[in-house]
Amino acid sequence: MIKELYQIRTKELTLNVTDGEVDSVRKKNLTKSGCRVYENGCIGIAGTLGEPTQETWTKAEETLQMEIPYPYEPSKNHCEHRRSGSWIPDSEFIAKAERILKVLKEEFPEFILSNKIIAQEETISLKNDLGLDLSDKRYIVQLVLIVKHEASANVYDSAIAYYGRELDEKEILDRGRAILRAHLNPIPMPTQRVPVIFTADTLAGILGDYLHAQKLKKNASLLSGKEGQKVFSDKLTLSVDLHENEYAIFFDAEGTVLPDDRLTLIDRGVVVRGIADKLCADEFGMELTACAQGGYDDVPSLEVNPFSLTIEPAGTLKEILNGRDAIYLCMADGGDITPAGDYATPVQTAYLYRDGELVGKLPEFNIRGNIFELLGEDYLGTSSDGPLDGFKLTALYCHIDG
Amino acid sequence: MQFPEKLYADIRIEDVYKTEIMYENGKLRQNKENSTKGAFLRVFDGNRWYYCATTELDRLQEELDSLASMATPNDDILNHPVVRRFQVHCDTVMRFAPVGVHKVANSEKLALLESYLPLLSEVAQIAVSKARYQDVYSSRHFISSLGADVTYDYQHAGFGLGYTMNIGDSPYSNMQRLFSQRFDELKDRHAELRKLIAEELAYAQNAVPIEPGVYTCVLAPEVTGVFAHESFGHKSESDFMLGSEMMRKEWALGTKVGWEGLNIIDSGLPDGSGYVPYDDEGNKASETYLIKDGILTGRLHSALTAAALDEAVTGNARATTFEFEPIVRMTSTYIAGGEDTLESLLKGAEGGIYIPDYFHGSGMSTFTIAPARAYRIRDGKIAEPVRVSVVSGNVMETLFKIDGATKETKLCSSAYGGCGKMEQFPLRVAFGGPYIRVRELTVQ
Repeated sequence: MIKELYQIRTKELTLNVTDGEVDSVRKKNLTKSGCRVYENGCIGIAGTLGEPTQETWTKAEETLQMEIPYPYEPSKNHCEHRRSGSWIPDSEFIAKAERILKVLKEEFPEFILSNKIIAQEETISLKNDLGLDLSDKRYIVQLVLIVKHEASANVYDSAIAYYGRELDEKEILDRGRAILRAHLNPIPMPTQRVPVIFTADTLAGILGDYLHAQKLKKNASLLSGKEGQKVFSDKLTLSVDLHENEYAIFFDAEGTVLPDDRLTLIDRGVVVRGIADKLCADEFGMELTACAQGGYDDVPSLEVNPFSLTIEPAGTLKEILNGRDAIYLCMADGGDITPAGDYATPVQTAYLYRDGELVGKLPEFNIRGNIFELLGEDYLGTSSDGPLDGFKLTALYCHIDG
Repeated sequence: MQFPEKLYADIRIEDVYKTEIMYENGKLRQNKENSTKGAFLRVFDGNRWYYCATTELDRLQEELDSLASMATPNDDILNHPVVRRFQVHCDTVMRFAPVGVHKVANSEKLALLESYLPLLSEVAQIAVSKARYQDVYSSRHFISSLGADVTYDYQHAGFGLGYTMNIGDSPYSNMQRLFSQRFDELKDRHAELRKLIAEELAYAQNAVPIEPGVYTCVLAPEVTGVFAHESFGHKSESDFMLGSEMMRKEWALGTKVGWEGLNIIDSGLPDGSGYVPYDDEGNKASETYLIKDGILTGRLHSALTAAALDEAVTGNARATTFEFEPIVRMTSTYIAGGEDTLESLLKGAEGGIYIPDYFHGSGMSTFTIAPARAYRIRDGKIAEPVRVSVVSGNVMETLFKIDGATKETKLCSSAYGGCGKMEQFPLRVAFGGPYIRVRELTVQ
């Protein structure tokens, strides 16, 4: 019998913001443990909050009787530990957050800011009897402030977002000021055709779903039968990338680690390979892509995590737009894609972007387009930088209905 | 437990039992049962809240003392408007313990799900499938420094049959779900599910793209429910009004906000996934009319928002799990029935679109519904299937564009997913109502 321990440790300080001020402080310090045992081609799992006890291991062994098949060898002989960022004292974090909120409130008294500012340290580890000992400890700061204009009857009107290794006051204030200034300047829709720009993760999530091995190999994906074919723009290269992305950990829930942390899925518009865990790799003869996911006490399974996928940049946003105006989709919620690949969504909040600046707020509108056109002839590229919300931005043309 | 002096404090302890079983393409992939316990502690000094989430239940006193040490003692804390809104109940409501899903053998649950697997394998067009069973039995124990001591339980069981159908160049994915608060009620439902899967197959094989435009739509009860939840329910959550004088003016009680036949209610009392007899501040559930005859008559509150707006609490302070603080959330939200029939609604929607079910919805200034299926309405009848990405409309304009509701209503619960608000997802809620007709919705 092989034993394996999967653990997620979370330390978190969360500040709740109401009407521009911190009104509560929340602390979390949680450990979630999943005990896995492998025997005779089956897996047994038992989970617990906190550290595992002998009782947890015994329960895991008992669940072998459920005969959940797992005829794959657990990962082995790999010892690697990575760390990024470090916890700053709570008082320092709170003081920084309060300074940011004070400045924004003083400079923009007509806006009501709310929601959360979070410091989180997460450690994910996987160890087993076969010499596997992996851990990834990440410190991340998230600030997502919901913005509401005092004269608005909306629940909220816009958002200021920041994700990073530290609460960078200057960067956050610069972004906040850019959004809030633009919001105070309503402008009409541009009359000429301009591209839209939006967070690249949206796109990675859609493509990841199409590349899911079970769908791809069973003729249940729009990309089924298209491996080896060029179906998208030659500017589009999509990879599993567990190094570049701050939110990805370098191993998956099965302990798979990619050489150089990277594997290409779509290469210059050509579908190269799908996404596979050990089950799919075995069933369809595919390469492992380090995309097995699951809760602390789940049997790992193949799930697409957009944060594990990266679109290769075609240049900076400025280079991609090459002097063109663009529409920045700040909030475009609720849309979906039909089985034929027709995507549509309302855009609740958008700003006109010109020469590196947000120049004004646009009226609400709708966008639509077919995925093969949007990522084909209409695709301009994905940026290497994240000048508006910290995330890389994708630029493309689409139908706009005002 | 020794509560700190000159401060308000409360503790919520959650004890949760869960089962999850999953078959992928007919093969068992997951079968887990777990029991977890956790606690959320709150201390309030009249100025700021201090929270802690912990799984170390033998250290609650220590955690409470630690939070109290961060707060500033307040001689007048008991007269604070927020604290005065905390009800002090001592009650135990254990409705599900005798028929708890934790007492049902795992082998019975496995056999239940296995009995439904042929529904997926017998359809040749289903290329990929996932069948999931899930149940939850939980109890929440709430105590406060004011003397409240409330315990209640909740449970549900359900399963979903998910699939992707291989239909030419347009693979179609969806999931059929069943929900119950009694395990035995999930048995022998094969015929109704088989019929639904057959309807989906016919839809997937024949649906054509919709011409984008503005249409009259007739919504089935489940879609009416998500419409009520997304289009108006979130706007009735009072934390969105904090700090905004404009919102208070725009949302003054007594304002006409919709069609004169429109009644929207939120209540934690009905059975189903929105059942919450006490909220996570110990306040009792109540039936709140948000809109009565088209007039704004109420909104949802925690103690904090009720104090800020000088209104009464409604029992809507809820947290998804012990890891989070309670915030203002819906429970069971529904539109009340009207006088129409489905036939009469369809007759008044010539050329429009009938939407029987949905994938997801969202609501801000614009609400959205992504339909799972949609059909044109012709000659007063449901006609050819159409593919629709999203249906949307302006929240405040759309409530005036409802012009009919059936007598027949349905409250819909789900064992999967739930409502998301900021960081807290999913929260179990229920929603529903009658069939309704809504004019001038944007369809893409």
